[in-house]
Amino acid sequence: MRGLLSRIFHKNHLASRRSAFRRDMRRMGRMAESRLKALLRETGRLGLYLWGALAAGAVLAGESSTVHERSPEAGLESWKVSHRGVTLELAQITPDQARAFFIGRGFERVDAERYAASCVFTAILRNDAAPAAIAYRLAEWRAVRAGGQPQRLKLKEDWLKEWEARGLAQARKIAFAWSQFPSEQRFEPGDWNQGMLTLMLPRGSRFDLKYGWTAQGKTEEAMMKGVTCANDNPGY
Amino acid sequence: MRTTIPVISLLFLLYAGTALASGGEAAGTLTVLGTRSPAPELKLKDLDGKTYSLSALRGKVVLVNFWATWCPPCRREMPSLQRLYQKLPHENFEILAVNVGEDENTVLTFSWMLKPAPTFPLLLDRDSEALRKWPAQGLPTSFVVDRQGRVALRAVGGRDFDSPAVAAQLRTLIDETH
Repeated sequence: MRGLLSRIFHKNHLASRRSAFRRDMRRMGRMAESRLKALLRETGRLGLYLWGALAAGAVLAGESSTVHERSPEAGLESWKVSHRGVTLELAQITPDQARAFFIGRGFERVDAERYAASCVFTAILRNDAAPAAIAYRLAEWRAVRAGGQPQRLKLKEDWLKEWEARGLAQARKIAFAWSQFPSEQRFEPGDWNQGMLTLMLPRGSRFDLKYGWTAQGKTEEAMMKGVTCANDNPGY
Repeated sequence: MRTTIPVISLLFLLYAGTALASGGEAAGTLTVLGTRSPAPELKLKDLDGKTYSLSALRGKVVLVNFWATWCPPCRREMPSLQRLYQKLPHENFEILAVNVGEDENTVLTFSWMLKPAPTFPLLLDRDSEALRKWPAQGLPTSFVVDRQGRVALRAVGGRDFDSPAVAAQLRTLIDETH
């Protein structure tokens, strides 16, 4: 009998405990659910705000950040910045490549050497998605080296004066002039151009390029960071 | 919350759109000029010594393309120019591809390498005097002259002349009655 009563008590006790446990669990569940909902509401909003801020930051900062690449085959480096629908790309040209190009255009070796000694890039500027026509002037662009004064680019016209003084043949000057990135240009949406761009910096120099353009009467500025002049052995 | 998600989605779409736009190739259309000015005269010889004159082509739509063999975007667009030439009726349309500053041998050797090889005239502007009369700063630059001899369309930089939108622009000019 005692055993039976004990078992019944134990059973009831267990049932009671189970019931209490279930009640507790339900209460805890409701509390947890309530807290979780509140937490989700707060962190959810916070998360979304953070996500939104990141997306906005990506639009504003990512759009004008410098994308750097190195070609695995040649080891040559290039830099690309897209800002407000305008994309600028600079790709290294080695002294060897610059020399070969102008010797191929009939230049004397000494003249080709003079050009190859400068810091040369292929520049590509595109009006991909600006809301209107853009106009740029290379004379306003500056190379900024760490701790140094902003330095202007060496323009096609500067070179042509030198070639004139050195008595370069007319055919060579024509080839030269059209191979260089134009000093001034206006691009409607969809327009772009490609040409050689020079700076009077030693080979291997590292600089930031501050550049800009005007669109609808407003001046836009952007920065291409960490650009490096090529050496003859890129990547080494 | 109801406004946050659409705003974020819009920001994301803007970002994605910008990324795609900046990574894309050259635009598929030519710039329509608001005012059509008379085209400068162009009178040059082709590789065979035959003289072509823009004024003699009045009544046709003429695409004038300034290019050079050393210019990468010029080289890239040349095959698509030939395909465009094959697509449009020759009685109403002509292409004059003006090489700037190079000699016959250089241009001829280059043209042999092209597939499809150009069948439109390749003109030689050895001293770039012809180009100087046109509002071009760099190569390639293309102009489309309407049937009245006015510049109607322009493209600074290379284009994909296989683009149906470009062919449609040219057909519209060809179909103009005045």
